[in-house]
Amino acid sequence: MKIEQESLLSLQNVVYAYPDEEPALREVSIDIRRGERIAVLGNNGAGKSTFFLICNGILRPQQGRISFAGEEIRYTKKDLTELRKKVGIVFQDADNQIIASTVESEISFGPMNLCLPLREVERLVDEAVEQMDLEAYRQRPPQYLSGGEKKRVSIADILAMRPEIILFDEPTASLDPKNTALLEETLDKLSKRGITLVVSTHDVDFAYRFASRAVVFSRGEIVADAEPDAVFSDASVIREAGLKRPLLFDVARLVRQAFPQVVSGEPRTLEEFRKMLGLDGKPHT
Amino acid sequence: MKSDREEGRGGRHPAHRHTHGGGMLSMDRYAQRSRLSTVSPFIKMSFAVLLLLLCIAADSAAVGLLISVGMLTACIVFSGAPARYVFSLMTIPVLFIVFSCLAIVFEVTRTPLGFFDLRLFGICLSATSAGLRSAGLLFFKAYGAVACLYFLSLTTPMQEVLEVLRVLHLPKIVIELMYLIYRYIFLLLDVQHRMSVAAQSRLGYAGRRNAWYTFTHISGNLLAGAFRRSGACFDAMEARCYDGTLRFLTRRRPFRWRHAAICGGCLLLLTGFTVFLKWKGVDLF
Repeated sequence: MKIEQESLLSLQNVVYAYPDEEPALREVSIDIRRGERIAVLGNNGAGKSTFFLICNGILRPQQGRISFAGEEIRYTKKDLTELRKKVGIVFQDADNQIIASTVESEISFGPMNLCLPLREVERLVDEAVEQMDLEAYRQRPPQYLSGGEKKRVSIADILAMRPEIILFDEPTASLDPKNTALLEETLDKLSKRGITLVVSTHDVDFAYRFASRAVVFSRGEIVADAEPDAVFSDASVIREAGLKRPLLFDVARLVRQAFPQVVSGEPRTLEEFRKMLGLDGKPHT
Repeated sequence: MKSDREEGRGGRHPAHRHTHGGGMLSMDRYAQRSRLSTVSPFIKMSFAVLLLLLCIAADSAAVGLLISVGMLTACIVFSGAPARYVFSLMTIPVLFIVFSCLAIVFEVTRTPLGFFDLRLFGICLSATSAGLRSAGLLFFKAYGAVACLYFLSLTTPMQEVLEVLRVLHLPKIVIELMYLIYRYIFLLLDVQHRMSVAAQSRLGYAGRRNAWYTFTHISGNLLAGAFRRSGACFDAMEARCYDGTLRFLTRRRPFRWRHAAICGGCLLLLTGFTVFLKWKGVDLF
């Protein structure tokens, strides 16, 4: 495994089982490094959500260790607060996350729980409001927001705590195409600002565009953890995890096969695909 | 992200288009949009409560009538609630009040006393003019009191009412419960609405038997769903360092002396009017 970047969050042989059930995670080990963009793939019930709750200290593994920036988490109140401050989760259903009766007080919930001075809380809320472009909604009650707006509020919730890693649990699940595109833009912005992103998704095309690393869960285990190209090339992983290959990945492969002397490369986006075909600079039709 | 901002503007709340929750939901919506929203909730609440007390203490039909007309006019003219909606609100308590008043008009006696007597099995239900007078008095007093509460509900959003109660040191547990109940009423209503539409589309309400069956099953599912959801919500709260106390940042509406003076003036005028009526011994009847 490459260790050129600083390791932020690491799980070692983590095992977790819900009461009276098969283990949801068996011997999971992973090292999340600063600045990575990780896509977490896998079927429903493969253990992605449990993995997220473990990363943030909501669930305590029955076996194994978690450490943040080299320090092992000992599940004291202090350690947990510190971990939850550094590792934020944006939950799949924003309605389960939003509890306050105005957008502004909702965003303040995290920083207020960190017991910061009020001035500081106000500053953090202002910042998060600005980043998620929610200025017009500040005093609006959440029940009058649309799905896309609620998603933005739930992201602002976490940004206001200034986390170093943000875990997104299926963020595109209930968004329309326009809001999905906006979400991708937001993820790009956050990544550029140095926040480490871990995104669970069923959308392999999005994962392929977005991720610098793909982690595949199947039946509570990590069955693949590598660069997206390597993961999607591995037919056995695709089969075992019940995944689909990204359309662009297959198309590029077919084009390479058809014109082996002319084109090469592994395009992740449509732009890169145009470059690969030598259409760079020519106008779209 | 700059998504559906346009949709969210101008009072057309997108998330709200699907819910036909009737009275209470519209009430909340008009309160959120009230033109009196810049007035400090302290002023609005004290005004409504003091007028309510005056209405009861004055014990005068004329004052009750004046207060109900005044408050409803304020709701329509100053707060901007549609007149038709306000009138439909006023019809809600009519049945209730009229029946209570009927009970007061009639007296049970052995011998006919009043201007109208109903003989039943040896006893007599007599409508006396004294009974009629006290029933009329009660009618206008009750209506005045209801109008005061409607004024509060239509001009002051729930989160501001809660803020006032918090400053008045109502027990924390009560306030937190009110916060959460207020938030989840809308979520539950939304789920209930979706389930009943789904049931309707399968003829779930065709005939009384089916309707009862559907109703009980939807209620059961709502309860089960609420339990499931409460777990997810608690996880999401813990993920943001919740430690047993709800803390939010709330912006106070500035207290403006001009508003206080206007409300104080109205109160003084009405009190003066009441004292004058009492001194002269005049009333509607």
